[in-house]
Amino acid sequence: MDPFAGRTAIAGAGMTELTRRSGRSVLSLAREAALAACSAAGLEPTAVDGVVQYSMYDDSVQAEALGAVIGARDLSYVMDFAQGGQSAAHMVAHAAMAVACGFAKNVLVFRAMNGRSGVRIGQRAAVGGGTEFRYPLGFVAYPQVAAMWARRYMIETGATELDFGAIAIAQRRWAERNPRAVLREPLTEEGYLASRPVAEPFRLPDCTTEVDGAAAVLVTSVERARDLALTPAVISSAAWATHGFDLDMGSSLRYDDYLRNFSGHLAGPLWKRAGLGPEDVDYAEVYDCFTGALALNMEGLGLCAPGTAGTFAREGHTSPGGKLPTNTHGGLLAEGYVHGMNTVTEAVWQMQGLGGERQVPKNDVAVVSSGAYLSGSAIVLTKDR
Amino acid sequence: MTVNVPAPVPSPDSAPFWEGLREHRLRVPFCHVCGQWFFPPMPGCPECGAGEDHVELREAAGTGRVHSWFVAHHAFHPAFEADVPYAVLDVDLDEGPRVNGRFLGAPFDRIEPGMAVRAVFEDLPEFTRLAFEPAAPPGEDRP
Repeated sequence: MDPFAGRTAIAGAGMTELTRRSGRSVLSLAREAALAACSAAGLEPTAVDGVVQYSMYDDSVQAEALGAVIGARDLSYVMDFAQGGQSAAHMVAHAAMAVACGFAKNVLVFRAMNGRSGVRIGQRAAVGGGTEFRYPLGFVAYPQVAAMWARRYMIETGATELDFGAIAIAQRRWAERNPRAVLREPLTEEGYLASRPVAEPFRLPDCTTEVDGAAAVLVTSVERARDLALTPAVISSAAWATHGFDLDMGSSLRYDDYLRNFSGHLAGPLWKRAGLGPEDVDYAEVYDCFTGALALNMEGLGLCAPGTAGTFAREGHTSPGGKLPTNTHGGLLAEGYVHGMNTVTEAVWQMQGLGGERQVPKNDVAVVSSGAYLSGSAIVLTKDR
Repeated sequence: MTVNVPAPVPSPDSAPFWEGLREHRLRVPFCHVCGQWFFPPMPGCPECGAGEDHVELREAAGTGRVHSWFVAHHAFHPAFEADVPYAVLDVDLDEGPRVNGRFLGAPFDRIEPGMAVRAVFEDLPEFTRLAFEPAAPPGEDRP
């Protein structure tokens, strides 16, 4: 029997509201989301004995600080992981490993950031790695990295800008039903085409919306989760992949195939460990810092054929009422950029029947991915029966 | 107020690359163990794992083909506000490695996948940066 698959579950999820200026400390946001996750699960915060978090450019707070501020007692597992969008599913997997191996019983996983009013990752000049070969050229921001990949995707697949637009339009339909989303106005093809170019081929709606906020989930054993308040979202699989890396996550100089991002490299082990395949997925919560990243993640996970993500979205399959509801919160594009941790919380809420106006009709199997290009992670969640 | 273009802070691994650009020469790491060129410079060959003693920054021809590109319309750094729109290329050098450079010498709509380009060198006050221009006259770009 697989030592990991199906041993642990997410018992509850919590978030703050998302704003452009919280006026609060990052630790205060983290605390609110963590307590919301505990409260949803029906677990006393004093029972938390593990905390896991990730950050970029030191924009978050330490795992141990969160433990202090929620009144947790001694911690037996902590992790501060210095990576970005790759991390959310991977951090859930770490918490699950800690629980499955007996290092901790109840582990909080969180991401907290003043991502709009504080450190803006998309506009932050990183130092080190391969940045010295890009920044002097004016190749300074992730939307430009994403645009470089997107252009190659268009060259090889024949996709057009309207294919990226179709993804943004489909996700906005979900955001219209999500009170937490920061972009709730309907988006049309005309509106997409008229929007401001950022890094061609990308326009503003192709790019995530930076916000202040926090998201957290509580990971515990399946047995303990069954004694708590909500339906356990069982962690049936997890995987990580790094491919074609050179000096930093913004450099793609040694990446061989811009049509196949990390997700194409982890899909095999991910589905094998779950004993499931992409055809079994009821809904997908897929990392989408950019529309082009969403396309690569959908195709890499096998949710649609290579080069067809735009068509798949345009045909309505990912929209409300479609056969594969995708990014049912509006995604990072429209709900806001909590660095993919809000992608995890949405997956949990949908599985627990807490999706509100955007609840999907069938919620037994979900896939969640984190990351965009060289590296990333994914988990498969299944509803406990 | 003028904001300076962010200058590279060369490491011992990359200093010969930047010194080469200043002399208008494109110097790229070459591994004497496996015979492969690679980029970016790093203290060991990513193709075979040979140590840095076996890696030499060797002059490349400076010719290659366009793999991808973007056109920047928003300056994410104040130093580039006067430059927008500008294009940055992914170029696969004839020796194998991929490098990035600005596109110069023609309108952006000239850029095509697979288009032949050659290196040109943009001298800024503090350093020289890599750029590429079309290697062939208009209409003769395609491979």
